[in-house]
Amino acid sequence: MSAALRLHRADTQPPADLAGEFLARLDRRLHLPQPHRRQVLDELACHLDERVRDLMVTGVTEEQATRRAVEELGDPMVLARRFERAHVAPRRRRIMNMLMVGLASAAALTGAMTLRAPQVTIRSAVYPPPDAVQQVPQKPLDVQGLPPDVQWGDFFSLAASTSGKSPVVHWGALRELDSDNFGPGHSLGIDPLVDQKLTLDQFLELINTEKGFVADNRIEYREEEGRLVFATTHYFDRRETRLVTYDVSELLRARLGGDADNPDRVPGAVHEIADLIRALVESGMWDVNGGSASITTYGTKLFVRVPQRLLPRIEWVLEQAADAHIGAHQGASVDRRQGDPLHTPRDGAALPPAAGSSTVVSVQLQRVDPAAARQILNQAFDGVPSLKQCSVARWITVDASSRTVSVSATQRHAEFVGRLLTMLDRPGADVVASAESSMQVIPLARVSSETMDSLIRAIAGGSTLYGREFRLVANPQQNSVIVEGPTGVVTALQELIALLDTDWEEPAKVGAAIGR
Amino acid sequence: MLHKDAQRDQAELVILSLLDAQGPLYGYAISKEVSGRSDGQLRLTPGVLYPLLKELESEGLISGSVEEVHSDRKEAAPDAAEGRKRKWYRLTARGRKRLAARIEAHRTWRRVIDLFIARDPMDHDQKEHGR
Repeated sequence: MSAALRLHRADTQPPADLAGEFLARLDRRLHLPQPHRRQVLDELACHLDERVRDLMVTGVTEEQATRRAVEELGDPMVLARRFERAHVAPRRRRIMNMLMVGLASAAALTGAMTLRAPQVTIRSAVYPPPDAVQQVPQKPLDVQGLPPDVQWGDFFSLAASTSGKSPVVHWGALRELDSDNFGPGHSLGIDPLVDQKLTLDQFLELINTEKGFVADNRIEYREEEGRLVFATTHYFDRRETRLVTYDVSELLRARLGGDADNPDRVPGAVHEIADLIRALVESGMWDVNGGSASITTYGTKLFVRVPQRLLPRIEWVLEQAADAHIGAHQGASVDRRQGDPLHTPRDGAALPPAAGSSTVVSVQLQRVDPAAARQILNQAFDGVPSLKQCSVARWITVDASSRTVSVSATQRHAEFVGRLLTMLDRPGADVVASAESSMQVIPLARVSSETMDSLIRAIAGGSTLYGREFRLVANPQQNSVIVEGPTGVVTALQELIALLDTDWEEPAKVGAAIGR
Repeated sequence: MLHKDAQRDQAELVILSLLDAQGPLYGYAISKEVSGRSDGQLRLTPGVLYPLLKELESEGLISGSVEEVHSDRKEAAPDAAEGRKRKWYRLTARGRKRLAARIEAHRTWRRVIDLFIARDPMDHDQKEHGR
């Protein structure tokens, strides 16, 4: 650090030291890797220099100008936090940005909002019953008595005594948030606590924000039997996990009509509802994704084991599902109106026999080499764990002389592969012609965004389609994927994704039934 | 929260547009341009501007390079005789893409909001007049 940044304590300071002291205070609080820290300080030093010069032109003294320039930069602590977040946050932000950009246009184009109230009631039972709403009297905390460099222990004690309780702090849980800085004797590291008249909730909001703790794991508290318990969202999630049952029979009636009692249709539909919940409510926390929450289905009931705080969201999803017109997506009705060159070959004898009711679909490829097409299919099915078990590779035959790929499988399965091949074989010229780039947010109804991500990568052999680069980002939180690239490629990807966003369980079951 | 995000996104749009229109600029020049072009109606305070520049740089939307400048106020900062380091920013290809998307989103947003806003009083007057 140069001498200009040395700390001086005097009532009247030379202007350069005012600036230097500010930078030194910022330097002490700025936790960034060295080259970044140096650059930030250099940049601000340069800013102060020029700002002071400009202000002096207006006739103020150098000291006044410096004072004002420093004031404009605000509290060094707050500034340091902003720089730290700017350094760390981009990955998260990038996705949010695209979503916002995408959502704005998607909402305008499709009117994607549903305002209709659901017509079907979902019966639910909660065990144990939700706790009565907790309310700690929210008096402002009297922080005046605390030393300037407040320690966590003091802060929690003060918060508890303000509401007449004794504090219980789960330090172990808190250290999961930030292993280095939690302990009774550790400092909060937030400067201007004194003089702020804030309640406990407001203080925690401030601290969580300043420390950059994200919404799904931050400092929280609960009031219980004369104690105020401090820990984290994850800690309380573990403690407040509930087993809840939802009876979805009415939803099924709305959805399946006369088939609502059909034992062949019900399990699939109930599974679909469970998948919908997993996709839409904090997808990372379900057992299938390595978390601890679970959904088990039995008849028309869902047994859901989740932290209590998520129940309202699950119920919202169920209400919305009750209102959905699912007929349009239903499994067996693959849309053939687009004039796919799918046709039944005159001679299906070369194909190995598929048991059960099978369909043979052949596609004569114009552009893609049939052997390459077959390899792409294999790649796709190998690259995605959930597809491995329903691989159709052994039912695919290639006739090199007529450039025909034939697939024998259940009707739905065969048609799917047929459509996939058609899409891969589409002319690339119109795609490449456009130099414009665009971006689309594509919500997924059935397949998880990570699965779609790997599926597309497997099919595209990386991130190139028709020789043009694209970017694909999976957004598990919304279960959507964001694609960005040349407009034609984005459109092609959109179609491909719509096709792939299908109920994979069904082909898997069919595969098992056929004895694969 | 949304409010804050929206403000930040608007600031991003402004900065990217400026760099697109003007070519490379450094932080202080950006803040002067912003208040100058908007007749002082829009201000990017340095406490917001510099962290945002850092964020845009981390995202790869802009890239910075440092230039040594010699302070003409050496008497004020005698120890900085080696000169100040001024950081210039320019728009990257990715930043240009983002800018296009932001502009599009902004236009869509404006179009949609316009649907809710009562007719322009001028329009109204003309109609009244015409009757």
